Amino acid sequence: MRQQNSDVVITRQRVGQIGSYAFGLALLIGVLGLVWTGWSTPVIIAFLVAAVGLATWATFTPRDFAAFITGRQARYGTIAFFSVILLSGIVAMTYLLVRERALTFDLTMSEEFTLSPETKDMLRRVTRPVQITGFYSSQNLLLRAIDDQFFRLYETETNGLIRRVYIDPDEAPAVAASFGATDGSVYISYVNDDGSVDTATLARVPRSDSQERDMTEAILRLQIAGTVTVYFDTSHSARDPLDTSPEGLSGIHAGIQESGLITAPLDMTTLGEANGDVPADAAAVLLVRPLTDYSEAEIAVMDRYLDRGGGLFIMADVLFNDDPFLKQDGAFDQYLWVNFGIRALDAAIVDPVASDRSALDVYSAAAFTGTVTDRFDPQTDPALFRLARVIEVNLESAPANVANGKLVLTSELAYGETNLPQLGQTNTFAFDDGVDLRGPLTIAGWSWDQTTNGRVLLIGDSDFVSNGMVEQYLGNGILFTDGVVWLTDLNDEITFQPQTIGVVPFFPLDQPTRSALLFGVIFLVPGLVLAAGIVISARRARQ
Amino acid sequence: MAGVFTVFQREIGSYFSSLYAYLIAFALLVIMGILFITDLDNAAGQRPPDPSVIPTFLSFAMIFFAPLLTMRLLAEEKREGTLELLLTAPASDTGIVVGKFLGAWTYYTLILAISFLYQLILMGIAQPDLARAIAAYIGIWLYGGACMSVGMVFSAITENQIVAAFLASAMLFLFWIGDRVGQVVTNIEVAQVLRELTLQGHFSTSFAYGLLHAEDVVYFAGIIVVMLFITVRLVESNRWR
Repeated sequence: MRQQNSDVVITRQRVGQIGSYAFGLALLIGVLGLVWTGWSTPVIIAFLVAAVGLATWATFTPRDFAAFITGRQARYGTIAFFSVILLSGIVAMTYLLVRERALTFDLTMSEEFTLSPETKDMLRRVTRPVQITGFYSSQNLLLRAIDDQFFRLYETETNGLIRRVYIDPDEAPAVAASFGATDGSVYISYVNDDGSVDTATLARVPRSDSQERDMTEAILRLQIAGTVTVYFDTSHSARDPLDTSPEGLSGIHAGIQESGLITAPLDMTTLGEANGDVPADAAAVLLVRPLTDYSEAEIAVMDRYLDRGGGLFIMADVLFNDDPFLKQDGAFDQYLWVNFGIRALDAAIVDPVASDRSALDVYSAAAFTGTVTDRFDPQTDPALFRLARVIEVNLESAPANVANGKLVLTSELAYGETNLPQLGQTNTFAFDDGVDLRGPLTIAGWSWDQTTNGRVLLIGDSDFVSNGMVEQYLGNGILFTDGVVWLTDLNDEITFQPQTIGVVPFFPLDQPTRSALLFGVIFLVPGLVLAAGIVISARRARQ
Repeated sequence: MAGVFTVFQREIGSYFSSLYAYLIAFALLVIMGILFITDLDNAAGQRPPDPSVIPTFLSFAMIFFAPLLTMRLLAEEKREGTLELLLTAPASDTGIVVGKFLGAWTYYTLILAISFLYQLILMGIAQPDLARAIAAYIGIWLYGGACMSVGMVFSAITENQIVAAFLASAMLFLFWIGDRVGQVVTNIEVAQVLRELTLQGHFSTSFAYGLLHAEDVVYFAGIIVVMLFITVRLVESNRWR
């Protein structure tokens, strides 16, 4: 047997060649690494390898090395290389200059990407620098690109008075935490003189199917920010607006603040004892399930407040204590009935039809829209109320100059259980003809004194705005938000109609049309192209 | 740019006399037809038909389609030894490259024009946003031109058509992956810059939505100019290598 010679011959030429390859590769890696991460250990190592490769190349094959630098190929190659770099630079500069001008042509039929005249009017009123801050991680790169081309319309329209800033919540988690931001969320705020964000005016921009409405309304809210205050009454063991538990109100509290309104606590008992007044800046006062009823002194405070055009949002639960809040025919209930034609009754709503797990978990079956809300739709997004009280609205003989109405109703099969002691002790309920109230019953009603502009919104439940329920049922949030907007009289100022998009629905095709279409686009058109190709090829073959 | 028109005529003639080009057109039109019908079925009763469904598909299909069209343009001339002859013809290097490019781009434009028939059919059965469709078609036309200019670079690098097509596809895949670059690169600023370098980054959120940004037009035109310039330099290098 012959033994094969497997010796590897290492020549100077080969070492020099390997050196040149190592130089080129390591230099490329080094430059890319430098651009990507800056100076780091791997980058330094790459440049060291490149230096060693270069030295090896120059030492072992000096002629090749010299030819590479000074030869004909080098001269032409260098000219070609630098001319490509020069042209690329010119193209890049042109691109950047054109991008700076932000020239955009919206070719969509309904001008989806053009700001409406209303938005442009509003933007002309912006006088202070505003910052749109978007939080996008690299995972949300596409969302950022889509949002950006919309946000830049605002920047261009205001000549930079509105600016865009993007922050990666993964790269800057502390900044994201200071905004309370999550990936994909967008905030709006004024900018201080030093260029920092005015955190007092910071508000999240909601995200719905209409970007223009979301952003324009957010800017409108920003313009009224700091001018409207909503007070939460904390007396009588009312629900805590800062409580983050499922029973707490932190969700709606944050929602009010995000709408650009200021929130503050108010102690009605202290005010009553001191014969004081609700602060002058109070656009609305929220009474969210006080446990005990109000005294005459407290009612007097509220009377003075309503007389000067205040707004009262009352959420009254079914209570089983001795002196329950807004007890039927109690002083406060009477006050509302006499002055506003609205009151709460001592009856719990039972609805065997429009209810959730229990007949006491009642869904809104119908609603009267127009005055308080236009958005609330019990069919698509019903609100859920838990152990709700019956509200009565005096439609027939309302007080003079008072307009009032029902807002949310139960189904016709609902009834008002009046035996509250039995309900509280045994959780049993049954309809007693002649005693209990027949449906449909009112769960929420409103009243408006047109002389004083005082407004009352009375809802027979407070659970519907608790964190656990307002996050789960969209209708609850809409009802609450629109209620606050109506009470604070901000409706006209922050409601904005976006550009209408002319979406023409497409109806299913009948079978013969579909079949003809299928034949045409999948067989006929491609088939004709193929047939033309075959004919031409055959003709060429014959020639 | 002497000889552009002559080379262009020769190229376009070779496309229309080759069964291969008709087969590519046939395959593309069948796929586009299926997509068109599928979108109609999906839209029925739900939403208006999407006028950019075909351009959006083409933005992906160009990864494979453009190299198929361009791989032979210069590689074949090299392999068969006709490039030297061509270089001695009364046509400048730029004329040769631009003429060949225009031939391929014209062929692609004709396929686009045929697929635009679907939009006209749509007008007979629904009320599509024709202006948006036109924007998407302008975008994919420029996009296709840029893809073919990239394909030409690789056709000039090698005489092996398969290698040219493979390298061009790989490059175009990198140019297409723009919208997904954020899944790979964790720094969003770097990801954003990389996205702006890609073809998809100048199509998927602008032309496809009916928006025409001037910088996107400049980008596609710039890619075409730079890539053709590189191709000219590569062809020219045959004279001094």
